[in-house]
Amino acid sequence: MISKEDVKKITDLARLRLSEEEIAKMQKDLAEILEYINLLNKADVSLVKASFGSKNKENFLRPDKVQSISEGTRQDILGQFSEKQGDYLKVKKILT
Amino acid sequence: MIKDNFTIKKIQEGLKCKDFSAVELAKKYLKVIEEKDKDIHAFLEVSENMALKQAQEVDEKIAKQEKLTLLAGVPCSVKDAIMVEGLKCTAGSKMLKNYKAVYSATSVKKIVEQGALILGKTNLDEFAMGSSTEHSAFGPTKNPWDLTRVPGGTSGGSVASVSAGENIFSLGSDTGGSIRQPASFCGVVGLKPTYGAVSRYGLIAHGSSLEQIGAIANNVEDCQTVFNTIKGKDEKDATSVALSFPTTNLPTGRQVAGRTTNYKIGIPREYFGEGLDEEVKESVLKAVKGLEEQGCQVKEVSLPHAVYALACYYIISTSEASANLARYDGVRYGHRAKSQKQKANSLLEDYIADRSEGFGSEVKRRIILGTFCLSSGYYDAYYQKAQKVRELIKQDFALAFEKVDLLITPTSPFCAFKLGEKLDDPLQMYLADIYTVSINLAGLPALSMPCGLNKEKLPIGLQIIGPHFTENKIFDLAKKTEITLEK
Repeated sequence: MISKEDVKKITDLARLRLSEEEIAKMQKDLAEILEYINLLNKADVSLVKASFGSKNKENFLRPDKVQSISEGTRQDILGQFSEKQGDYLKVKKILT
Repeated sequence: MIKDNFTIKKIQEGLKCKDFSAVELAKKYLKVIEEKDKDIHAFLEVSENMALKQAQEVDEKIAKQEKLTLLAGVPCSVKDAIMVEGLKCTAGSKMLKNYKAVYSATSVKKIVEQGALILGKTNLDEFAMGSSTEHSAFGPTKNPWDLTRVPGGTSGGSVASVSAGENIFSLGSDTGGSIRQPASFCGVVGLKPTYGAVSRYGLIAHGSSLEQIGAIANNVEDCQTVFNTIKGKDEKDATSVALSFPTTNLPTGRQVAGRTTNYKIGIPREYFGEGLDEEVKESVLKAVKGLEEQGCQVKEVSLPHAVYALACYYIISTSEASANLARYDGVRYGHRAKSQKQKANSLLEDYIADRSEGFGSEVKRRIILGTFCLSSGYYDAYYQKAQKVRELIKQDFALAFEKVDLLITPTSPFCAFKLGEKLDDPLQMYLADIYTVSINLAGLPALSMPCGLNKEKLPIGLQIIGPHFTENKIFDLAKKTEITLEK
C-alpha cells in the first residue's frame, strides 16, 4: 500500500506539486494501478537477462560539427525564453 | 470536378490529366475542414497558407512538366506531437500551448519533399498519453462515425481527420497503440512500423524505446505509399535503420490477390479470450476464414506472456515518460506560471510551479508513477522486473514466428466507447490498449485495418503483426484481406 507521505515524496522528486485533494486521488489511482502491475510478480524471470529495447548492437555516430541556423530561426528560439537579458537566458540565482 | 473517395493514385492521375490543380485540391479539402471540423475537432491548427504555398509549388512543377513526386498534391495532416517548422507544436498540452517548432521532423521533411500538402496539426491526448483523445488540453476529438463517442487515442485527431475525409493521410505516432487503436475505432488503416524503420527525430518524446511515427490512411495502398516515403535511416536518430524496400511500382491490391503467396497465419489464443467483445471476435475470425478460403494456412499459436504485457508496458512507458518530460521546466520554452512567478524565490520553485500548472492530470499521474518505478528501493521490483518480462514477451513472438509468417488479432477488445465513459478510471482506459502494447514492447511492426461493423454500425479493427522489418508482407496480407472483405 502506498501512503500519503510516499505520494508527497515522489511528487517532490518529480518536481510537481499537488493539492491535498489531488494527493488523495493520486494515492487511490496509484494503489489501483500498482495492484494491477503487481501481476508481474507471477512471471518467472529467473532465467532472463533484462532487455533494454533496441535490437541495434552497433553504435551509430555522426561528426560533431557546427551547423548554422538562419537569423529567423535564432530569433524564434530566443523569443521563446521565459526571461532574457540581451540574447542570454535569465534564471533565478542557483548558488546562494 | 473533384470527386470524393480520393486515393493517392486517383489524385496523381487527376493532376496528370489536368482534371484539377493542386491548389484546387488544397482549397477543396480546406473547405471540408471548415465545414466538418466544428463538430469533429480533429484539428488544433489549420495551416491554410502553408498548404496553398506547397500546392502552388506542385502546380508550378506540373506546368514545367516535371515528373510527379510520390505524394504530389496529396492533402495531409500531422499529429501535433510531430514538429512542422513554422507551426505551433503543442503536444495537446497547456505546457506547449504557444510553442513554435523551429525545425521539422525528418518524416515531415520527407513527405514535403515528395509534394504532400500540410493542411494542419491534429489533436491528441496530452503528450500522447491516453486512449481516447479526451486528455487533450484543448478539448476532445469526436468519432466521425458517432459524435457521442471517442475516436480512440492518442492519434485521435489524425485518425478522425482521415476517417471524415478532411485529408487523405495523416502522420501519427504509436507508443502503445496510439495509431492502431484509434484507426480501429474510426475504420481506417494505420501502421505502427518496426522500431527503427522510421526516424523519430522531431517527435516529442514520450517512451523512447517504444514509439514510432507511422502512417494513417483510408486504404492499405495509401498507407504503404506514405510508409515508403517516411522510412529509412536518419543520421539524426541513432536508432533508425536503413531498409531496402522498393518504393516504386507498388503492386495494386488486385495484382496482389492474383499472386500465389499463401501466408501461414497465426492466431494467438491469448488474444481471443476473456474481455473480448463477441462481435469483434466474430468479425476478426470471419476475415481470417476468408483468407483461409483464399489459400492461407491458419494455425493457432500461443504467446504465454501476453497476460503481462499491459503491466510491463505501464512500468516502462511511464518510467521513460518521467525522464523525457523532466525537460519541461518553462525556462527556455513552454508554460511559465504567472501566479507563482513573483512569489517564488528559487529556480526550483519556478520549475515546480511551471510544471504543476502546465501539465494535465493524466500526464502528472504517469510522471509520478514513472518516478515511483525508478525511485531508489523500487527500481529492481518494478523497472528491472518489467525489462525482464519484456524479454519474455519478445521471445514469445520470436517462437511464434518460427511457426507462422504473420499473426492476426483484434486491434482493440471493443469498439469506440462513449465520451466520458472511462475518463475517471485510468485503469479501465489503459485496458483499451491490451492488444497493442506488446507489439511496442517487442519493437515489431503491426497494422490495423477495418474488418466490418458491429450492430451499432461502429467499425471493428483487425491487427496484423509481423516479424521485425516485414512491413511489406504485412501490407501484402492486408491487401488480400481488403479484397476478401469486399466479397
